[in-house]
Amino acid sequence: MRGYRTSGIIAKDRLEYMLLSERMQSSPELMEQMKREISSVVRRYINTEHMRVEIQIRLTGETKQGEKDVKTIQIKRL
Amino acid sequence: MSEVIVVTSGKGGVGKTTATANIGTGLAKMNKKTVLVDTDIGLRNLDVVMGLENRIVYNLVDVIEGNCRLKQALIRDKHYPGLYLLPAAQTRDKSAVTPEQMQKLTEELKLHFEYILLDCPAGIEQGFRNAVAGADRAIVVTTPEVSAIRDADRIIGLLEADGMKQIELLINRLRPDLISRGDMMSVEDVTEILAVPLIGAVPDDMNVVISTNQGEPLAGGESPSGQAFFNVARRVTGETVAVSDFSKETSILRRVKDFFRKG
Repeated sequence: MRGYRTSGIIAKDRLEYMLLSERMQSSPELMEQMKREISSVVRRYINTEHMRVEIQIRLTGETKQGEKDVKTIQIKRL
Repeated sequence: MSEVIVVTSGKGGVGKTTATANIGTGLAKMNKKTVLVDTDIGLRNLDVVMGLENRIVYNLVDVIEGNCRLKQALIRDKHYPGLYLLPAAQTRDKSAVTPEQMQKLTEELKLHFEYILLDCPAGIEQGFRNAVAGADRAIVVTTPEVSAIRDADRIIGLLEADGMKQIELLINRLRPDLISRGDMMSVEDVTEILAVPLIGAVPDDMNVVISTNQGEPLAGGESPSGQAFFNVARRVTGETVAVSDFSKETSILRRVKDFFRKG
C-alpha cells in the first residue's frame, strides 16, 4: 500500500501541475526549475535528511467571480 | 425575467448537446418556457438528439439574415408545449454569424422565453465567441478526464476574461465503480481543481445512448442520468438540491491512500 498511487491521484497531480503552469503562463520546465532552485536553497540552510518538505506559495490579488482569487503553488516531495 | 445560458466545454464529445437537450427538457417539465438554440453552424446535432430533425424548415442563419421570421424557424417539441428548438444551419459555416447578430437574436428570444439555452460548438474559435456573446450565464460541461478538465479550465479563463457573470460546472459521465477504486477523479477532485461552483454531477449511463438513438431526452425519467439532469434543471431555476456524491464511500478511502502515498 505504501507509496501506491492510483491513476485518479496521478491524474489529479498531473492536472494541478499542468494548469498551474498554464495559469502562471509559465512552462512546466520552468516550474520544475523553480522547484529545484527552491529545494537547493532550503537544503543549504536546513538539514532535511529525515524530513518531508512541503512548500506553499500563495499569490493573492486577482478577482474571480467577485471573490478574491488565491493561487496556491504546492510543492510536495522536494 | 429571462436568462440566456450557454452550455460550453472546449473539448468536444463531453456531452454538451446531451446536457442542453436534457436541461431544456427538465425546465420544460417544470413548465418553464424554454428555447434551445443550436449555435453549431455547419455541424448541427441538437435537432437529432431532440428527435426533431424531420421538422426543420428554417434555421438560425435564416432568422439572422431575415429570410424568415423568428416564429417560423422555431420548432415546437413533441411532448412539451413550452419547449422550442431553433436549429443551426447545416449548409453554412460559422462565419455566417457575428457576435453582434447573436446578441440581437438572444435579445429577441428573451421577449418570448424564460430560459434560452445555447448549445455551443467545441473549440475556442468564432463559433464559441458567437455563442458566448449573447449569454448571461455559462454552464461548463466536463468529464473527469485530464484532457476535458484542462480544456474546461481554459474555457473558464476565457469566460472570466470576457466578463461572464455566472459560471458553473457540470461534471458528466462519472463512473462510481472507477471512482471507488481510485481510478477516476471524484466530483470533489474536479471541483477543487477548477474552482467554480458545481451545478450538477451526472453518472455515465447507457440510457443516454438509448435516448439519443430514439431522439427522446431522458431528463425527469427513472434512469440515474435522467434524474441527475432533472436536478441540474432544478438548480438552474434556483432551487437548492443536494448534488448526489458518487464518491461518498471513497473520500475516506482516498484520504487513507493520500496519507500512505506521502510516506
